[in-house]
Amino acid sequence: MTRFPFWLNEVVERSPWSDMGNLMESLRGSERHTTQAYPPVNVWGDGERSVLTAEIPGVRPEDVDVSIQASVVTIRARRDIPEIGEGDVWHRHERGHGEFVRAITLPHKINPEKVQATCSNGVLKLVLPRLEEEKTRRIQVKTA
Amino acid sequence: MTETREMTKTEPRAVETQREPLFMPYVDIYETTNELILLADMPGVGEGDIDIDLEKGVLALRGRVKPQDMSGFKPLLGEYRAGDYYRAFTLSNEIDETRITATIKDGVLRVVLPKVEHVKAKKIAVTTG
Repeated sequence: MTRFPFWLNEVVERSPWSDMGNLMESLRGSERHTTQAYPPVNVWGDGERSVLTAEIPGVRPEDVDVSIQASVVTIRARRDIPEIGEGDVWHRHERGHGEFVRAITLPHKINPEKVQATCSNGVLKLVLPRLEEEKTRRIQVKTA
Repeated sequence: MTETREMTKTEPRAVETQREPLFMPYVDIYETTNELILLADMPGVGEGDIDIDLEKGVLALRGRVKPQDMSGFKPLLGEYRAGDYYRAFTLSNEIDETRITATIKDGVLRVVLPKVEHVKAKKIAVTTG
C-alpha cells in the first residue's frame, strides 16, 4: 500500500474550561444544522411575505432553479465534485456534491410574479410575497 | 507521516463557544504535483470577511458572517444557525508558507498551498532498454 505524506494536521482546539464544561459547550454549539435535508433553510414571515434563505455554497447563482406552485417553493441545483487531475490525491473529502431538490411549503400561497431571488456568497435568499387574494379580509361587525 | 489525532469530522462543530458560536466548515483537501488545495464551505462569507493567519506553522482560517437582519419578521422555520467559521491546521515544512494564496467564490474558500521546490514529485522517464 502506498503511503502518502501527510501535509496538514488538524489543530484540535482546547477549551480553558473543565472537561465537563467543554463537553457542554461543544454539544450546545454542535447543533448548527437541525436537519439532514439539503440544503438547510431558514424561513421568516411578517404576514405579507415570507423570506427564505438556503445555504448552497459552491453553487453558481445561474445554476439555481427556483419554481413556485401555490404555496410550495422548490429549489433545484447541483454542485459538482472538484475536478482533480490524474495522479492527484484526495486527503480529505467532507464536502458533499451532486444534485439536490428541496420543496418547502409556506403557510400562504405565493405570488409568483413578485418573487425576488438573489444568491450571494453561497446563500440563496428568496422573498416570497403572499398572493393578494390570500390576505385575511376584515369583516365589519355592525350593530343589528 | 502518521495521523495521531482524530481527524474525521462528520458534522461541522463549534470549536469554541463565546457569545457567538464558531462553526467548523467542511473541507476538501487534495494534492497535486506542485501544491495542496484546500476547499472550505463557508456560506455567507464574502471577500474581505476572511482572515487567514499563519503563525508558528499553524494555518488558521476564519470566515466572518454578517447575520441577516430580519427585524420585524417572525421565525417560521430554522434549520441552520449562522455564525463565524473557524478551522486550523498545522503545516508540515514541505509547504512554502511564503506563497500561500486564497480566494473565495460563492461561499467556498480556496486555499492554494504550494510545495517547496525539493519535495515536488519528480517525473522519472522510463525508457525502453
